[in-house]
Amino acid sequence: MSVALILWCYAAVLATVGATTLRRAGWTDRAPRLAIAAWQALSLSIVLATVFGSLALAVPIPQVSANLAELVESCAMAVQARYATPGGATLATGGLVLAALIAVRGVYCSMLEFSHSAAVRRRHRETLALVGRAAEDTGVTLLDDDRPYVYCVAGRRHRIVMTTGAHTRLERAQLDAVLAHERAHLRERHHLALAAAAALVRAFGWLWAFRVARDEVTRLVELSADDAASRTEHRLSLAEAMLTLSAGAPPSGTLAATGSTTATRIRRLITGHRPLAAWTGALGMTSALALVVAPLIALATPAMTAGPDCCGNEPARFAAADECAAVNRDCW
Amino acid sequence: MPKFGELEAVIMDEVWQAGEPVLVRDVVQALQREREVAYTTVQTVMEILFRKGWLAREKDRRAYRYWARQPREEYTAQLLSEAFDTTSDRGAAFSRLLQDLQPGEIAELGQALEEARKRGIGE
Repeated sequence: MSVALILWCYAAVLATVGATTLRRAGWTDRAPRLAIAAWQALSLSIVLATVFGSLALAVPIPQVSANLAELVESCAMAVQARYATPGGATLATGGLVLAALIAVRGVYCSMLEFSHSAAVRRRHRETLALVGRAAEDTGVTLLDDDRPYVYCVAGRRHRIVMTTGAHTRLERAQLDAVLAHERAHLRERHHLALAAAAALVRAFGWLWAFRVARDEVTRLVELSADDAASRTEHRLSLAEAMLTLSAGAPPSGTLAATGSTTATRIRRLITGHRPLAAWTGALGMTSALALVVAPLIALATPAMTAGPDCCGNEPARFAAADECAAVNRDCW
Repeated sequence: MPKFGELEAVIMDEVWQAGEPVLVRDVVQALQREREVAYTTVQTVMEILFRKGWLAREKDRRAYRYWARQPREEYTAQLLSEAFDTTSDRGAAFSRLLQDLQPGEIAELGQALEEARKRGIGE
């Protein structure tokens, strides 16, 4: 019971304080890849903590014993004992159902999200193959259109697509910078990070933390691609290219209302930024990993150290599950 | 011999360029100016394109006349609107360089960029 409570509190804290802190953190813009990992760790940790928390209700954790047979026996007895009491049975069933619901919904929505976006991209690529033509110099797929657009279609047979409008407007250095940006998206498989974040919103969109995670990951993959492009091309060329593309594009009412991330990105490219030190990055990675492992440890620790169910008594001391249950009833 | 997928693109190119219903023979003749290609191959690929919904056809005496169901620009517009549709989850399948700048921002950023370039000369 206490393990369940700890895990649920952990999930609640991560989903509120954790998400707020990470969103406000100043270092995320300096290390976007690390920040993406942190959001993924946070999200995964919330899911794991809730699932394990619910499981902890259903399966009282028996003492780990050196003897496997004894372990199995004590485990079986503890479960039996839990179901023997009316309150325990309800709690256990409820926990089991909850854990299953969360897990199944998470997996189902992820599969839906990944297969849907893959299908959209496949159809898009098929049409591209007939409508677009390959640019001889860069290998990008060109579309005949005066509006300046650049995008990429990820996947095994990925494509960078550009309209002739964009191609003619951009100078060589700007073109290279834009291509480096798009190639970074493909190389770092940003579409998977985006799909994972979108899957959680699809599954548990009522949770604010997951919506923030998706918006942040969407923003951070752009920063990450900007950084990657800046390493090989001149960052001012990329800023110029983004400005050129924006200036030539027809105004879109829906986007303007959201406030421009693009403006922030261009300013970031103009001023340049100090990337996070390597040791800070390593520390961040460790923290992210710890975040995910924490619920596992919480679940495992009582099993390693604390006594089993039956109010902390050795289950082996009781002749039958009934007896263990009787003790449980008294102390619950 | 070129692959079917590649041929599909080349044939659609020809049909779009022709701008009027064409016979398989017309397409073969046009293609043979640049490459070696068998009549039956072109016929097969055009049948495939018809079944996929890219081409429409009508019997003209003993042969079919084919034409594109939609102009190329239409497909292009559809592709672009799909890729830049940020409101539905279809758009989530793509990464794009977004254009959400206000005219005021463009001017301001352009100036900042120019100054940075000037400063950058000494870098």
